Amino acid sequence: MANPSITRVLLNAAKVLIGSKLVSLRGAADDFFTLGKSGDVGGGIKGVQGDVALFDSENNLWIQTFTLIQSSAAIGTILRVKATERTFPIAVEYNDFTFNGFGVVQNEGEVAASLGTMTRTIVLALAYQSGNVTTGIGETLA
Amino acid sequence: MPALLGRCIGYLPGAMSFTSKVLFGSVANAQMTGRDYGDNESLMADRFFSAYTAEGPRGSHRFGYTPNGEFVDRPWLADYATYLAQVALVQWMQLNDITAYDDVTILGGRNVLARAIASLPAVNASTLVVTFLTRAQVDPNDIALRVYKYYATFADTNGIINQIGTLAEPIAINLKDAG
Repeated sequence: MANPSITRVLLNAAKVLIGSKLVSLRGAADDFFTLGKSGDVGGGIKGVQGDVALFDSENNLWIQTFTLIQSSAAIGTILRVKATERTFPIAVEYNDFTFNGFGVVQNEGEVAASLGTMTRTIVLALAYQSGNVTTGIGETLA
Repeated sequence: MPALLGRCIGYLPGAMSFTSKVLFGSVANAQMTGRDYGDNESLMADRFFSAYTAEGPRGSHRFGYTPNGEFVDRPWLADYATYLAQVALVQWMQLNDITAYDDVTILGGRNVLARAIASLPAVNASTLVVTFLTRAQVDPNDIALRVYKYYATFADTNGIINQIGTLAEPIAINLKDAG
């Protein structure tokens, strides 16, 4: 029997750096971010005679959704970079997972004066340039 | 060679190859007339010799060797990649209020390097890997000396076709009469 695969994930290792200065975003809520390709990358089309064509595509447009504490420094960091640079460099580092590219703010989220809503969701649209995105997160221990 | 450089060097490495270029000027004296070296072309390849030949017969530059046997676009690529990395890193350090010796900043420098190298058309950006050591892993003397030298960049280049078919292995063209 094969040895077990042992990996670990440290959530604190998830880093997002944005802007020309590559400032680290601080102030993640329970969920820091999700990052995925925009839309499906493949699919199929069927015909009435039972024929099928499969297709897939290259897609370098990614969507990153942040869940931030309403009072977090990251909100100011993102909105200042948006105001000054419009399109900005971004690096996402999560141990083995690495994403380097450029981004814009797709949705700024909203301020909430509410005891029930202590988080703010900000959405970025990212262009992938380099990095290892064909791996899971975390580190392989054995 | 200076004329060939003038023809090619204005492009980015990976956007231009040094082979198959012709130098036709508007005056007769500036025109290159390629010679037909025939079987001796194999000697040119053996001896890392670049020349304008009658290949075609269009008088184009062939092989693109430097005298030490390297293809001329390789040092061009290496030098330009080094230059881009230097400029990008210095520009980033100028922008920073402080380039702190911490892990977040080290990750930032990694991204600066990755973006600089990936901007070259010669580089297959999806293969780019920049390795690094964290602050805890570096030699403490380097922290005291304020030196960070633990980035290493790896990437595949897309490559260039310098010649199609050789004298020894020519392109096979098979034609037959219909019958």
